[in-house]
Amino acid sequence: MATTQLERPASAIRTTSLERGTFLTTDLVAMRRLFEEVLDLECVRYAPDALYVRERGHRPGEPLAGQPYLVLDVHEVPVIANPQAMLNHWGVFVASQSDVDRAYAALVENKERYGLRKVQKPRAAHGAYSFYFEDADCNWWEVEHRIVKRQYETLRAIGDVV
Amino acid sequence: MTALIPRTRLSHGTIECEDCLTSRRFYQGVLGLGSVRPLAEAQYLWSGGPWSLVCVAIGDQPKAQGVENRFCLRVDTAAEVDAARDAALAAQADHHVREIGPIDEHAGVRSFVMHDRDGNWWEISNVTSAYYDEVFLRGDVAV
Repeated sequence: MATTQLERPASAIRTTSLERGTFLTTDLVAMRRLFEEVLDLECVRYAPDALYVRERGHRPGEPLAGQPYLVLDVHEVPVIANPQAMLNHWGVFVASQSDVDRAYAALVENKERYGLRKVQKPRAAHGAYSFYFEDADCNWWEVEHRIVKRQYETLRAIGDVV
Repeated sequence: MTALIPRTRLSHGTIECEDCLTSRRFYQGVLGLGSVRPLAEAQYLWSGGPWSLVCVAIGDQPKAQGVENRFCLRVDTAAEVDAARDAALAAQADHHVREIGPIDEHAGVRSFVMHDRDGNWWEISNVTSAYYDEVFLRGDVAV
């Protein structure tokens, strides 16, 4: 039976947005280079040891101004006590399967420059075509493209299939 | 300078759970997240935007995360943060929530954290999107 957002029961906590995710780095400057020079994300250093990150285009006058966005909140620490695994990754979406292949080739070529620990080969699974890479701080990233019928908002409208 | 991977969009984060249906009761019934199961081994959670939180069921107890790796959910007012903590305490036993932190307040933003049965951390706060807009406009702090 399909379950869509319209059928959600009242919850104990009336949250309105999943707004931010947090993680750690041992080198904020190097992490910022990864965001800006590799992933094309916008960064601001809001404290000496912390960075907010969002997708580009949300400044006043830009195409996405006024639309909601997810914020990544990155803190610098001397040592990361709890290194992340692949199943705790962050995903970025690109416009086409070819873009995934181009991204993979670019990261393989620049692996040492950005201190990447691993860059896995692209593969197709569940309507997504993607590859994973692990940054210098053991944070994992997925670069993905999804066909329209497997994109996240489409899946919400379809509802459960199991 | 053109980025190596231009024009990306943040699409998802990922967490683990032991069992989709058990954790779904908490995500929907307590945290107020939407949830859809396109696969037997995963549910996609969302609230307030096109991005998702992919929750993968591993069939075993996931490794507990530290609070420095958490997901933050917004409520509308400071009073709702307090009400949310009361609601979390009331639901703690039923949903095997491991820990619920005290209310913290900083620059008018109230918040608290909780550690769920699967070892994932959640923060509830009344921070607004205008706050982030302002921080990005203001630019970097001096270091």
